[in-house]
Amino acid sequence: MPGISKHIVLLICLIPGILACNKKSGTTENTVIPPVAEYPLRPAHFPPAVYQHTSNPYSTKGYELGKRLFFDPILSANNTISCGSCHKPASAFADGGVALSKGVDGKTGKRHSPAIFNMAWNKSFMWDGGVNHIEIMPFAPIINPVEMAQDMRELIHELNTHPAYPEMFSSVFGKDSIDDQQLFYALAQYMSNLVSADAKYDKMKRGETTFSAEEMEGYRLFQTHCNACHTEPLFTDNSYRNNGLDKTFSDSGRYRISQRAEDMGTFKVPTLRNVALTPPYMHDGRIKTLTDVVEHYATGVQPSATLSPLLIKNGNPGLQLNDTEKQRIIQFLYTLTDSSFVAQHTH
Amino acid sequence: MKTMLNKITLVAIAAVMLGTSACREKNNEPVPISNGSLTMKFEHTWGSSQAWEPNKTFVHARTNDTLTFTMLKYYISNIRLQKSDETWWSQPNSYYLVDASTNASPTITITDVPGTEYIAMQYTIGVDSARNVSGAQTGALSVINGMFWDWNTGYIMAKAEGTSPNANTVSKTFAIHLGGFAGPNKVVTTKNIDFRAEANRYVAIGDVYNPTMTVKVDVASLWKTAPGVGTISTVHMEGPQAATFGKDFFGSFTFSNITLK
Repeated sequence: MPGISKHIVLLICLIPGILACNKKSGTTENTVIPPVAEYPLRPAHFPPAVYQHTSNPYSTKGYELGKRLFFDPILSANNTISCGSCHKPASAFADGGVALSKGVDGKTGKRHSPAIFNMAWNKSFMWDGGVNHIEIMPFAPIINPVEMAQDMRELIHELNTHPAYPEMFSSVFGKDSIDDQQLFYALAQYMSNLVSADAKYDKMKRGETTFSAEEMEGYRLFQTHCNACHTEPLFTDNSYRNNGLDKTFSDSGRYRISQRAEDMGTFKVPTLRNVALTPPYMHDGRIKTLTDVVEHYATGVQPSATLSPLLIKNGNPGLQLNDTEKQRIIQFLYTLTDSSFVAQHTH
Repeated sequence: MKTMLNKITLVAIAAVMLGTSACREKNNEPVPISNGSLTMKFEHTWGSSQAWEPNKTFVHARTNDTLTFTMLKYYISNIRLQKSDETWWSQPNSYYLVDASTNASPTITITDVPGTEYIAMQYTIGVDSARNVSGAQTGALSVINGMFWDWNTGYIMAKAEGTSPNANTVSKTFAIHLGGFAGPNKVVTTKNIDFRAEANRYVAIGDVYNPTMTVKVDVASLWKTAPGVGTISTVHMEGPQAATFGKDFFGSFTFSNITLK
């Protein structure tokens, strides 16, 4: 009898939770907010993280300060755009279907806002890998005229004269005034702890669930055709590749950074985790659906001098997949959706 | 007799040599005990003889370009001093941004130098590789100084900007930004000064000794081998162009003199 009443209580507790999940937005009072992790999240089945918090010790207060800054438009020139404007938690920190995100005054650049999570494992940042460290990564969008268009001195002044930030920063870093290093440290504490590792794929790997026959077939096809670049468990090998979108390049990609001929038209291999939540696809957001992405790799690969040799089969560009194979791969890609990650950060 | 004379001559020569070397290598004052400071003064010239100034117009002898500078900044870092016992003192967190944009002879002061006599010095023009790959920095290395590339991580080791009627830009401005912290196009340059050879003495720092060392910098050396602003008006990334400007400009940094106190 006591056992039954416990179950009923549990069920009653769950009902508002389910209802809240069905709402796109609205009240969050029924959502159970998980506590902020006391240590940086480092899943056991992931390799060692690149970012080690060496000079920026992690704290829950630092994470919470970073989170507040991430969603605060104070970071932009006219206080209209926050990091979260183009990296929306509900879209796994991508920009919810937008090919080219809008910065201040509706300005746009030429590259797509990537989904940002598991960044503590990134060796470089941006589509061309031009930024070498997570701490100084936000500097680029903050000062870019088509993104946040902010003046750094002005921003530091705004933070130092804000009614709340000076006390928050001082409680985390113990300094008299806020400088850009503290701003970057706080943002890094938040961003490096956006960890997605609880998709069906991860549960399968941990033995908590099993794949359907179709998903398992998709997984095997993925390992044959895709895993060389989108390498498990992070689903990227952090390399730069030309995946055959074009024969000539309006955006030189990695070449802009390295000035090496072999890098012309190459871009960083993005993770495929949460890929079903992050359309559109490619560095410029040109492909709208996952079906079209897989079709591109099967039949749409364009030859050029720097095309990844992994996309050439029997002397011809393209992976030459049949319709069933394409479908199975997509079924597998859906197992990379981490709903609990999204739910945890959507509040 | 002949040998005797030779011996005397030898002894005399040896005595004179000993005397000079003692004079050259040792101060007669006691070795300082308390900490002191060393000031570095950067004196900018245009060519070998003309004094350089910001916002003044110069003509380049090699390129014939007419140039007016509105900005000249560079990093000086990793200052080390060698004591008379040949051990080195390295200044902790040793980064300075030298700004000659409003002052033709800017100075930086290295404080808390352990009191003793020094025989040599080392400094770096630019910012070492480690600080280019270690994330957010502070002080002279803060990004608010405008000396850090956001899109292709790395410090801008030196910036020279201004106007020229010869520039190939619509605005008739030039902007030479020199970066490159590693690899074949690295511009970071380390300089060594042997005080005994160059100043003819030991340098005491501490107690009453807080000397000022003058370094001469020839701004015209930016175009020692590089083409004029009609060909290259802007350098905005590391690479072979920046490496050429950097090698010639940083190569012109030379020790001039050091005061006693």
